[in-house]
Amino acid sequence: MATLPLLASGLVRLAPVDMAIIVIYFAAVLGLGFYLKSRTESSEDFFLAGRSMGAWIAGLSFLAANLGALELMGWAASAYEYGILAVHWYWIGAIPAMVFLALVMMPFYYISRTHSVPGYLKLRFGESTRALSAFSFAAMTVLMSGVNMFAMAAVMQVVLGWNLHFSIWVSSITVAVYVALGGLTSAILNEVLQFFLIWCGALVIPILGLMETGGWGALKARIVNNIAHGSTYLHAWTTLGHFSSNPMGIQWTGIVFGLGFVISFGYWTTDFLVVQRVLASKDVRSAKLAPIIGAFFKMAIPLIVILPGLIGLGVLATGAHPIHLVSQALAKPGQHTYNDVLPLLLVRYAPPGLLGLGVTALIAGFMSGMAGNVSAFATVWTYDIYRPLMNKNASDKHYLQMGRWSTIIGVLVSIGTAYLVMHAASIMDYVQALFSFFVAPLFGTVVLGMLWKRITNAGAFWGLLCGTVSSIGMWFWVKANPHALAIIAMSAHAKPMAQDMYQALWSWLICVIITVAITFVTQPRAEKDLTGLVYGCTELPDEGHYPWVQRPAFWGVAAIVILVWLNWVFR
Amino acid sequence: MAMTPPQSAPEPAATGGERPKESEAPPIWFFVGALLLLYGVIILGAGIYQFWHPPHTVLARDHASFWGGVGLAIFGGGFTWGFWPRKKHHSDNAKGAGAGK
Repeated sequence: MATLPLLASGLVRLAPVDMAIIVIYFAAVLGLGFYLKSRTESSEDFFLAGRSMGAWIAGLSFLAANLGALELMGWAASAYEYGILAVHWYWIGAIPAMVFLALVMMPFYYISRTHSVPGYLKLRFGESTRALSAFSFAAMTVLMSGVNMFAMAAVMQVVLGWNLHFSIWVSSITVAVYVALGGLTSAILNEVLQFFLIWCGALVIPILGLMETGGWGALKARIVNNIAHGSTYLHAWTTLGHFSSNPMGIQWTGIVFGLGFVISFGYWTTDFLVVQRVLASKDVRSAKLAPIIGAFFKMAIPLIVILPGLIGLGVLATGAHPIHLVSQALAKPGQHTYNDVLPLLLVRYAPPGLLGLGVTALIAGFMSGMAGNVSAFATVWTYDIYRPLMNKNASDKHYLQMGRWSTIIGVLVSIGTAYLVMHAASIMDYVQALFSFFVAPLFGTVVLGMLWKRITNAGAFWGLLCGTVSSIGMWFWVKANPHALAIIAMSAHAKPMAQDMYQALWSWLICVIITVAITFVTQPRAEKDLTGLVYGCTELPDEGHYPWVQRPAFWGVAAIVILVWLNWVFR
Repeated sequence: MAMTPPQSAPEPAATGGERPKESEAPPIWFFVGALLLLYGVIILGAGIYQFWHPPHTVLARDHASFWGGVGLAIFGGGFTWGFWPRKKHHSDNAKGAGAGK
């Protein structure tokens, strides 16, 4: 088998054709931002793209905003570290929640005419709950944006030898410019463009990887040969009976209830980063179809993310110059980490031209993640923090200007957080910890408020606060005393990824229990005040008259059927 | 029963009706197609060059850049043709805004 001398140093020089492709990409995204500036005339244009997007654009953007470091580099690294178990974050950890968002929750977000998830909480539970969720969401977005910046800078360092600081500043200034100019419209349309570039650029690795190994069956044989207990890396369900029988150190209850229920539903139904894209839809039917369109593409993304991680297990440790990746915490100077698996494979397979496209795909992924966080931050800051708490009666033009400035400030704060990520053992551990802090309890608050009219304002506020504080408290507890992990995950064999799942599950339960308990000792709101906000007080809007094959419910069921089939095949 | 929005913001049609803004949406599919076509042509050129100057990558003999460039050019060209603004002005606005299914 041929090997690459370049891999020994981990650096490669881009050919002029690769540089041309990258430069054209930057020119295209900036050009789109300038083109859209003249179309952004009001705060509704800036923050909600004028609510004019069709289902396909909203759906692809919905998914692309999630395709940051999380999807590309982080999950390829996790697939290398944990094997095919990582696919759960795409299937059971995404699809049911996306279908639930589309068919159950989206009508309420849409007909309440809210501009954000904290905005919905204001309508449902009042100002205090809105302020709490707005501040926690703002903190999460700038931290997540930092993840994206670091991830991109790390790729540039491994592949091109570029300075980390240079990469962070170039990428973030570009995002700041095109989002500040065109607002959410610019972010969304750039995300659609980035979606196509990500697929085109990233497909190089699985195609050539399978050609080198001889196909899926031969790749599995290589993994079994290369790694101790290699077969445990190739099953999605059959190794989940006990914490010690799989590389992730997790049990099926953590995957099903922690990931598949709390974290997944929390992220996909209440994280404003993704929900904002769907709120920009032009009508209710588009708003319901968009997450379902996203769900079909989400199920396919393991092809360009998980499969490369597995290919890394099959090919990198063999040949004349074997490479053994390690966790960031154990890496010695010059040693490659799990996070390097995707760039290393790109250098291995992609010749000049395709290498430029592959690097562009990574940059596009990271920038779409950054832009998603920054545009969501600008909306929540302006509508849910600045306007209600600092300046209630300014003109629409003033809020538009505030949106542009908060975009730039959000990027600057994110740059600071990028340096925090460098100390995380794995990008994914950091991301999952953040989700369990903020998203898991928020899901408890939103879903209770949407489905049960009895829930009171006081119950929601204290439930959300206690859920969030308990999640952060558990994280610090384990940091101070690693043995606490065995208590939180209920097993001495649990590993950090399991901690996040059970931490999320506990914080959600604490949020729900406290919310319900306080609800029963406080006064509920009158039903007439809950119209358009809660099931039982709302007549759902008509989607229009369409054949059954064009209805969101049909495609939602189809997505679930395919999900079940995929899990059976890779069990 | 008519919906009563809880905010004072005007609520146009919450029943699937389209809004005037949609007609102003830019033709993003055309833009995507044009960029992919441009990339396809550039990478195809690089692939042809690599027939005489093979790159130092695994599977270099399979000419990945050449075939990748061909695929991108066909895909991007199809989008560019299908969503060309002058050719399909009316439907472009609908499709360009992602009117989808």
